[in-house]
Amino acid sequence: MKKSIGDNEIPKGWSFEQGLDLVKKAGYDGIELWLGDVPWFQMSTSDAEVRELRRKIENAGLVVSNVSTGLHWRHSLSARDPKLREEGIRIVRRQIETAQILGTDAILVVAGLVTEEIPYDEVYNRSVEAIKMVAPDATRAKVKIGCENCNSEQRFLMGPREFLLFLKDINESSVGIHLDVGNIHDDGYAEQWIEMMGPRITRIHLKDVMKQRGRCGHDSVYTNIFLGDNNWKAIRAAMSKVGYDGWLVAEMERRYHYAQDQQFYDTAAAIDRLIANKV
Amino acid sequence: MPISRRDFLGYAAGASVAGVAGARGLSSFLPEVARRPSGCLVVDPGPACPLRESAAGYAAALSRLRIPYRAISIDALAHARTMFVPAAVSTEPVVVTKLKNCLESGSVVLYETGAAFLEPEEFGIHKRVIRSVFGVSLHDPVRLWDSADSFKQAPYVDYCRPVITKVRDFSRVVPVSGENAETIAWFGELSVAVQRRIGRGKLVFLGSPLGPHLLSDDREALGWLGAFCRSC
Repeated sequence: MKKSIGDNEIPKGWSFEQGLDLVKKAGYDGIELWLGDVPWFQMSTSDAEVRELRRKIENAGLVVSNVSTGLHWRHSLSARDPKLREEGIRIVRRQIETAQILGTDAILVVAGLVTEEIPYDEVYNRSVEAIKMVAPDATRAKVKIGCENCNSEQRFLMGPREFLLFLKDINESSVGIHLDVGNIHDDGYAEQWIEMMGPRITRIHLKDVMKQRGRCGHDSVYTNIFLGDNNWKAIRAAMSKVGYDGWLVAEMERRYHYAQDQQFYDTAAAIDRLIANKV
Repeated sequence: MPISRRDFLGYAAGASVAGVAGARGLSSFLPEVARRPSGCLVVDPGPACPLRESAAGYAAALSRLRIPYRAISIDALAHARTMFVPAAVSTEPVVVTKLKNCLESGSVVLYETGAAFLEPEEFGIHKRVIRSVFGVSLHDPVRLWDSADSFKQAPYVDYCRPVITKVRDFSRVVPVSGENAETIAWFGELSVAVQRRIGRGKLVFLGSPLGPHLLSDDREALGWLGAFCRSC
């Protein structure tokens, strides 16, 4: 397995180059790029500029593990407004294009968003339809679309059987799950998700979760690997069982009040222990 | 006089028609039957349908209700007894006039506007076309979920014809009104669906999309559509 961390974790005020240097020094093999969430990688970033990002990444001795985005929280693929949905589709297509340019074969998509206004059944139908629309683009580009399980934030696809049904309804080999082991909260067990999703996993996001707690901000449920309630032994065993040998991508909240770069080192060391099965 | 089986059945059928027709008046009944178009159409407005899911919703719901229908493009419009025009934002008077011709020949046309998400300029054109051809006035779309007091609103459209039921809102509604038009659905104090006679037909104009809810198997939306079809 290889380890990666998101460029959105780079401490505020640091340049991309400084961030890459930190990622490399902390011992990661790659970096996850977040389209629209960092100043150096926006929807307006040209192909030439994306190639320049790749050059910088490779010069730093890294590769791109995957292309993610938080833009779908605002331009949801399940929005009622067709213009918002179109923009959501455009974002996925740009992710696919940039993944190709950056030399990676996976993107992360938040496939739908249930809100008080837009109910679950509508979100399900639109999400399936939207992902089916972009799947052929992904197939042509040899890129996998990983729909992330953001169970509590999306209020969508809350259980692994439901998620499997979703993937079955999409029925495209280029579509799988970008499994976040920290997102399952009190609604289940990450190791069971890993077992059930098996070969459908495109990437794994790592963070820990403090169950029976609030959500975000000061009462966040999220914490660094090994500090929460995830059963990391079981998670590691499930990875072995299903033969997962892909990228482990750290995705934590920036919780360090001082020496923010220290979080990179601590997380890398924790992932090394996890990979080595020394937990 | 001996009577053959064939003759008996012929007389019986004739007597039956005469009985029904007699009650209504033969001269008006038979020509009406002969003149009224038959069948059911889902008319795809093509690019003038920003909510594609709505068209899919009507088709899925009619199948579920086991109502035979044909899906046709608005360019190939044919007369039918019942016609559904989902989430349309017609801006071409000629297209809406074709629908009006169907109405005048006796069709029942359910026209669902998809205008709630249009830009103001496009909305203005759609509004003018609908007003001039159908005599239905559209008012500016109302966003139901953006205001601070949105939670004070019941997020349902209240239908009172042809059946009393509540159907989900679709985030925005287009209030509608018209001369000689009867309101058949309300959102709070806002009239959001009307019906009116045009020629020998009837126009039912929806300002809040129903099609997306039909696609989601919304029970109340499906129930309303079933009642509507039975009433045609």
